[in-house]
Amino acid sequence: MELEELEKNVKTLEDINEIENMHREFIFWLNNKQWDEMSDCFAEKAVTEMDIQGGLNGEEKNAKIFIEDFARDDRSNIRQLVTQPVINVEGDRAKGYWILYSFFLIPTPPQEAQAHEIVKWVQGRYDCEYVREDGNWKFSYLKCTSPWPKSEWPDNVPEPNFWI
Amino acid sequence: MTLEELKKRVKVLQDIEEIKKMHRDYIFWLSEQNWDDMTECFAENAIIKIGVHGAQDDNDEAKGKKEINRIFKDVIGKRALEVKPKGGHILLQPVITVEGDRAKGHWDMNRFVYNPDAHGGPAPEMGPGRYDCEYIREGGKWKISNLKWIHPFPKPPGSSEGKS
Repeated sequence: MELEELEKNVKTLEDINEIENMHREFIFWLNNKQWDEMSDCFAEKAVTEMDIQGGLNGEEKNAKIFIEDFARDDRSNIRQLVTQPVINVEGDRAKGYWILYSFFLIPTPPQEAQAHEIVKWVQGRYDCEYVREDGNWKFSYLKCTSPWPKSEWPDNVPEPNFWI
Repeated sequence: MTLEELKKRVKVLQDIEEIKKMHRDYIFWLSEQNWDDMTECFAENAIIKIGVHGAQDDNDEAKGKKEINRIFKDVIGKRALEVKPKGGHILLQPVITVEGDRAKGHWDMNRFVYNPDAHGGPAPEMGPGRYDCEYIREGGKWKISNLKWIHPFPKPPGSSEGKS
């Protein structure tokens, strides 16, 4: 393998690592309600699309406005976890998808906040596009689908309500 | 770019993967209460601060591999046998940076248990937490040199970190 090709391969692995780190930090900040830091993960013209049952209907929205709206609509009882990233990089752009678990929690007395009862949980998916902007990887597009995969329930089974 | 520089960059990526594997093994052993194998993940002079579960006092730290092994066997292990909520741990979302033979990282680490004595009746519960760690290469292997578990994470307003 030529040195140049090797360098390209190493750069791709480093980029994947940086994108994964950025997206994980985004989730840490979401769970800790650090809205400014979350907003900084988006590129200037980034767009979000939330397809979330019972809440958000798949409309595209400017990412910075989405974060402002999300911060106002405080949902203290939700915790998100992400795993299984699949990221592909092409130069200064990348695409990726992740599995998402959203937990809807209530504190469990008498040990308030030490343990939380899992009232509901739902599996979802993030589909994202990333762009390198000023040397840092950012979201250019972020879509959240929850639940994922979507299920067809028999007529005699009420569709679960995953949103609180 | 020279071959030497490329080798260095590949080494960093390999180190990140080794640290992740070691810390994941740590959690497998923690979940099965295999204290001896688990404490082999610590450096000789490692420090742990894991709040109410670990040290005698929230402000204490347990120092040194031998003391860490004792804390897990005689304090945490005993308590785990006595309490009714039982379950496991899940370790996700690593963000690791390496500088030579030292590294830093943070993870999302949650306990999932089934509590037969929950306030409103038997219920699944989640103990949300975060690891902040430092690592060191010792004897050619990556070990944990400093481990802090913050629980709950995030802290709800008005709660004390790590107190029951």
